[in-house]
Amino acid sequence: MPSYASPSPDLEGETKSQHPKQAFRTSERAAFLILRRLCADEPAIVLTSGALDGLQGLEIKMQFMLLFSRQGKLRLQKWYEAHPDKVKKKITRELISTILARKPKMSSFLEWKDLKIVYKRYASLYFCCAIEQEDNELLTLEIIHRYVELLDKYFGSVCELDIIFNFEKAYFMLDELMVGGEVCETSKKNVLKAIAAQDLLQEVSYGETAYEL
Amino acid sequence: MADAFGTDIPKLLVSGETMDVVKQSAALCLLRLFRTTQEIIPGGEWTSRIIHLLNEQHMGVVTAACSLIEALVKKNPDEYKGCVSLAVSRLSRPWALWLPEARYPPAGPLEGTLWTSTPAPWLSVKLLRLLQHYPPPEDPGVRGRLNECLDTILNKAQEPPKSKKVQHSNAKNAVLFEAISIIIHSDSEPNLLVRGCNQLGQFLSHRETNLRYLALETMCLLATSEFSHEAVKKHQETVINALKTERDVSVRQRAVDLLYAMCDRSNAEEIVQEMLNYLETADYSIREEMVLKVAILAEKYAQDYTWYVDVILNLIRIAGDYVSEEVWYRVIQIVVNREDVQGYAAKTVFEALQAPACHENMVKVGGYILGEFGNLIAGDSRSAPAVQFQLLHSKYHLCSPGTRALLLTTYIKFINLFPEIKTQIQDVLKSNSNLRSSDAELQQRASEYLHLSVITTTDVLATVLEEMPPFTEKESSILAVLKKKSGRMSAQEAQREARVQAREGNAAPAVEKTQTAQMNNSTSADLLGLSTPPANQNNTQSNTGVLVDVLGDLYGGGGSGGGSNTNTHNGTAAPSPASTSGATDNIKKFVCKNNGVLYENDIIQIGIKSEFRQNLGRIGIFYGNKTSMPLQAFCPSVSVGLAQQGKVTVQVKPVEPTIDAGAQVQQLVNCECVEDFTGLPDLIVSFTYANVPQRLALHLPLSINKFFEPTDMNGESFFARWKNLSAPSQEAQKIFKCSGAMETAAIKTKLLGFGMQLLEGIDPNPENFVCAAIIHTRTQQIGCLLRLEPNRQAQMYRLTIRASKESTSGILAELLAEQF
Repeated sequence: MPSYASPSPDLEGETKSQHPKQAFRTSERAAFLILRRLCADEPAIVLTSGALDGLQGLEIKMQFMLLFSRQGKLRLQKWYEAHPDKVKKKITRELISTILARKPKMSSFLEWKDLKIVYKRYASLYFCCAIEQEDNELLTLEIIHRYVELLDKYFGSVCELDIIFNFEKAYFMLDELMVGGEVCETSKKNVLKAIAAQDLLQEVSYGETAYEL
Repeated sequence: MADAFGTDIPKLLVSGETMDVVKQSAALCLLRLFRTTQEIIPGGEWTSRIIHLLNEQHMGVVTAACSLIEALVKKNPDEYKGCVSLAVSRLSRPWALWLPEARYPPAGPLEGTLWTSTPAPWLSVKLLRLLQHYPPPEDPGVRGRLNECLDTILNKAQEPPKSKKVQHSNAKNAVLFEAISIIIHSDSEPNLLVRGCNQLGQFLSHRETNLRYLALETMCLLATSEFSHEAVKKHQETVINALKTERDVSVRQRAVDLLYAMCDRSNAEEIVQEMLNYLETADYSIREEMVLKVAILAEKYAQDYTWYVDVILNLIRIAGDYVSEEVWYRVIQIVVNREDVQGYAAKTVFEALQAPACHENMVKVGGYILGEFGNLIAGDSRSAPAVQFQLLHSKYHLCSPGTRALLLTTYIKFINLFPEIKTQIQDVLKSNSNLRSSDAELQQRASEYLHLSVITTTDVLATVLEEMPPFTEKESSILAVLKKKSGRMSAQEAQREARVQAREGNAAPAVEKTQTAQMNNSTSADLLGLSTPPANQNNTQSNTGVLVDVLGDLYGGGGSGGGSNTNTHNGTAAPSPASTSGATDNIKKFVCKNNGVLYENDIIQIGIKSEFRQNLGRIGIFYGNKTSMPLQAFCPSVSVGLAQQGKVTVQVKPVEPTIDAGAQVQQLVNCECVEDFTGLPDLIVSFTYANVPQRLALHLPLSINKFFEPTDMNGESFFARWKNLSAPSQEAQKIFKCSGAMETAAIKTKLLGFGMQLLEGIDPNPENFVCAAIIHTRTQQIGCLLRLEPNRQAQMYRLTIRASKESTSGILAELLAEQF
């Protein structure tokens, strides 16, 4: 998986010259990147009793998001609450089997432990989010839908293969949309702009290395 | 990392120069860090600067700030109170919701958020959610504007959707549900409540499963409000229909929940009947919960106890496997306590038992009731003693050992009731399968009962097997089970459940248990010198009275308590803006005394009278209203901290939800020490005074030393014991500075108040004090020895405590050291 890290600092000047529209001042850009880094990564596991007890530790809007196929293959996972890998696997397994067993006419919400699970199926993919008791289910559906729209726009009628082969893009987009379990960027245009900028950066850096070879 | 950036991020956040995108990230990042280390947010002037982020132009910043503020509010509601009016004004700006003006974006980068007819569902929902952390705004202007907004949202819901796509209405409905939940939360606008209810009513027959699910769930809350309870009841038909036709289990479950919530005296029979009908076909996953609910409803709203008995017997017949012990214990308790249904119950169970296949639980109930009240129907030749016995015994071999044991007890009761079938029963008791049963319990019972029937005279037998005394009235343990079952518990309920569990120990009506119950009864009765008679002697009082009270306590005292209930349910500590000046909290003094004023401010005085004997204690809490207005929604709750749960049990009698002006009410708390414990149970008193919710967090003066029994001994045995307890872990020593004067008389008073026997003339140094006492707990007795050495020159004390249980000495030393 490509590194999540921000582009290396020496590219900064170039970025600026190539995208004059991007009005970041250098210091602000650095601040921005640091801020995102601080909250985009999965938190380190805090060994409090709460964290080990399961999902009751900290108040986080969305606890995690899972994408999996109809065959039960996990395609994407994003955790906003720290868990040991073992727990994650267990949760994933449990949820996938529960959700796949549900019939299409059933409601998209279910109660699971002390969380609410909101899921929706788009074509062959299930999008599944875990939220807290007091959170709004319909709004979570909205977030899922927004994410799907984003994927759709970026890939042009997205399919499961797009996500398998370009999973990093899917992660990038999710990181733009949600930060630390909270909705961050509600504008589709802005997200896509940010992703396009990233793509450009990537091309430039790949391009250079290719020439040197 | 959090430390490194801790100071810079807040600066970035509120600085005027930072770009919006950075601000937005800063807010979310700060939120992230705040969850890791709460200290990261500076207080003081930062508070208002953070709150004013709500005024920002950029939507993203406001949305992010909203999340941040919500987290802060959860921790510190008072400090961030200012956000209420800002949030309301933000909400009432036309473009925050989906008014037509929304099409014209105001200044600032808003593009993209106007993507549906709901321009900013995230922001709207966040703002509404934020407001739910506070009681409705007091300022009539702000309140008016908020209500206007809610009104608009409800109006908007009526409009036909602009597009057919589900997704578009999702955003709209998300806001709508959030609006309804804030209406329920404030519980003060009957008009809005009823409108919200009607809106939900429409959703009940919507084709979207999701909406039906949410509507049912939200209606459950609406049903608890006195204003909308009637409105919810109008939809009874639809809900019952949903129960029958809905294809999704979870939706059906919601329907059951709603039926349970909307049930009251007027529609109880119908709802219970519908639930029973549905139970026959219900999914296995929800049967147990339904059984409990039916049992509770039947008991709570029974006007006629024959109906109640019928319902429960039906319940056992339909879903015997899912009827938990608590349910059938309860029916027996009620039958025993109510003379008027005993005959009917005996007749009904007799008939029910005649069915060729009947559930084991039915046999248990039948066995118990016939054993007690079989004589009431013995006059009829169809249910003559011998017939009753034959009937029961025909089931005997199909039952588990537990049930058999119960049946054996029934048989010995029969011997007493019907001497004519004595030989027949003795034959059964004598049979090898009983007298030499592989089950020790059965074997013992069979042989004991057999000898009892052979040796004793009829008089003795009659005394031994006298009819059961009425059960002490307490909260139905079924409720506790239900709470455990339904995973959706608020913290408050969890506390209450713990309380309920503590009482459960006494609830089982097996024969042996009653003996102990009786004993408890008598001890607690004479234990008490308090002014009112103990409630559990009022057996003449109707059962439902007490039970409904208890339920009332649990569900916020019916309608009037509803408001405060929602407050506490959301876990917000209701702010107490009224003056608390002159408040006194005397908890520390209570370590060495049993009676006195615990707390006093301008509104309320809380006094304590307590008495302890061995491992049991009774505390009377007196709440005095010092004002000239009644205190409404009065709800004190006592809970034992998590770590101490099971070590000490407290059992609290409910009190009326209102205290009239100048009046005083008393609440009794029975407690028992199970093993040594630290800390004090919490006493949370919440009430509304002049429409302002108040909440007092106090402690109940119940410390381990209350269970001391002073022990006298001579010097020789004292030193012998002192040496016996010489393990380092058994001893706790504290050296501390004296805070007041060192007067011998005062020290003696304190030590006596602490509960230990002061032993004089034992220590070679007359200045020193030595004491001895025993702590009684349910599980063991802990011997404690104490030595206090004052050093008058240095104004210091050295306190040494040795106890036979290792953890205890430390606890005691902590407690006592604070007193000097």
